[in-house]
Amino acid sequence: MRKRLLDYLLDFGGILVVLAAVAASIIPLYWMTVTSIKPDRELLIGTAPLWVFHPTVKHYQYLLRFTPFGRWFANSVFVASITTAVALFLGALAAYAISRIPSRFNIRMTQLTLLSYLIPRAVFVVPLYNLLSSLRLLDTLWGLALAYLSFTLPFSIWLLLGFFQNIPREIDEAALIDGCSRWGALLRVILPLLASGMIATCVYCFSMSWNEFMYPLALVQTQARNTITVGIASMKQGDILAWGPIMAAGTLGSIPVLVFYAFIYKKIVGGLVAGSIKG
Amino acid sequence: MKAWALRPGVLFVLPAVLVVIFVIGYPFLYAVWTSFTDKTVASRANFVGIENYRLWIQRSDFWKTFFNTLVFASGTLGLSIIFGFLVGLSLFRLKRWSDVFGPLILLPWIIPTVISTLVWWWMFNPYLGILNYFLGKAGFAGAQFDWLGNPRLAMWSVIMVSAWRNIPYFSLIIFAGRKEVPEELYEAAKLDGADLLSQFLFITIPFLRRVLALVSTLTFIQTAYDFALVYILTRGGPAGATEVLSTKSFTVAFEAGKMGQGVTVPLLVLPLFLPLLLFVSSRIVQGLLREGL
Repeated sequence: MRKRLLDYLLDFGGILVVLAAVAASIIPLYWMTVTSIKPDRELLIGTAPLWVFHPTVKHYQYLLRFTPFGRWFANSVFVASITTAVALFLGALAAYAISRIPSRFNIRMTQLTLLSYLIPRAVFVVPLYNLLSSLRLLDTLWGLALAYLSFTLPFSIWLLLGFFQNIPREIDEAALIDGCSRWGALLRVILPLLASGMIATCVYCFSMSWNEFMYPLALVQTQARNTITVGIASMKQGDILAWGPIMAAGTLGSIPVLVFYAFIYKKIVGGLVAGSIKG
Repeated sequence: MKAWALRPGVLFVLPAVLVVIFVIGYPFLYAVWTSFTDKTVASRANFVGIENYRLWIQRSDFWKTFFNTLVFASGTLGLSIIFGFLVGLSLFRLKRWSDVFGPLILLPWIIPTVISTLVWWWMFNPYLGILNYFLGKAGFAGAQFDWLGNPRLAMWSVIMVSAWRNIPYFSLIIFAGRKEVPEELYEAAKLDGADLLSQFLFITIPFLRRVLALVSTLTFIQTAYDFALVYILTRGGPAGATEVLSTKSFTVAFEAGKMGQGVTVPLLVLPLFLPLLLFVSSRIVQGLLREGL
């Protein structure tokens, strides 16, 4: 009898904790969205911060008309797409070769690449500034995409390596016997099997690039060439009453990541678990 | 016999290796070289030996930054582990609902740091932010905490945001790990009369130990390197109270323009982190090897 009471108590406690966690996760995001549709008058009174009486799209209009928000958004899409495409292509080639032909050289390279992932970005930002400067790529989106490869490529190799390991070698051996070249085996047989892994890697690389802040802050100076992260953060320094537009920008800036997230939630959780259990 | 460079094993790896050398290997060596020079944004580099390293070791603001970084990373990690267990194990009790609550709980980990940090900056606003509003409602009327402006409070505020971002990750890792523990162990323990605490200490913890060691080390490292969160919330202020490695390095290298001095800051700390780095990378490579690399 006492045991059942304890179980009920634990269930009850569990529900409370989970609901509190959900609330703690959602309230800041809810407050961001509410702020973005609040008229300034209600914002400044501040008596009912979590409610909005006269929703308005004024902040969104301001954002699109008087700030380069559209440009920032497009810049981020451009840079993230380029670097993700390159990282995915080179990463898939490398991961395939490493998983099929694990020579000592390949393993050492993988280890070194992983190690680079654990060095602070602050170490790389100064030399990358000078590298891009000597290539005349400073303050350009192409230069930024190149710099982003320093974290997207190691990550994509690492993640894809895990996925490639799960595909038995017999499959590509069979393809080779049937007359495929290595290239053909990868392209026609292995990659289709890996579609979901490729998509997950793509999403990860894209969101990492989308979220990056330090590199664009250092490597881009022209306001119109900023990424969305630096752009939104720069609004904070401007007008002191910019809360509405900043939160509107935050709401719009979260959408791409949230859409991706909805697509691959299962994969993310699966990947987190696989990645961590493996380790 | 095919030429060495045309063998598929080499041909497929080579492009990635070249890019890695170009954007990682060469910059790293260049960074080390720069740390031995007086390079600024505007001027060329002159070799100055270990001058930059000597300078920082003697300066108290470097040690303060180093200490802050450790506090920031350990605080974040500590809160993440404690609340991660609380939420993760609670989620496990409501297993049927985990598909509904899991995605909601993970949200803070998904939202771009810059955006969630700006939202928190707005929540911290002493007059209009919801934190003080809630505290007022909870009975601390008139308690207008200056979350980011008060030097004694600022570090805790920054840690709070960082933990908010990391707790969801720990919760889901712990939830997923708990699912892997065989239920029979708990049944047997219950029959032997073990209470909840000893079940937790002697079954749950040992099972999750390996996963947690890796995830914790990674989180510690990544938090210690964090830039965006601190830079946006406080820029290292007030009066250096939240200055961490990356913000210090960035401010010196790009805002003061002293690249040689700036890049020295993280390089000086790197050797101290080396054991952690080696632990993580060997663990990950081990994981890959076990899968048959």
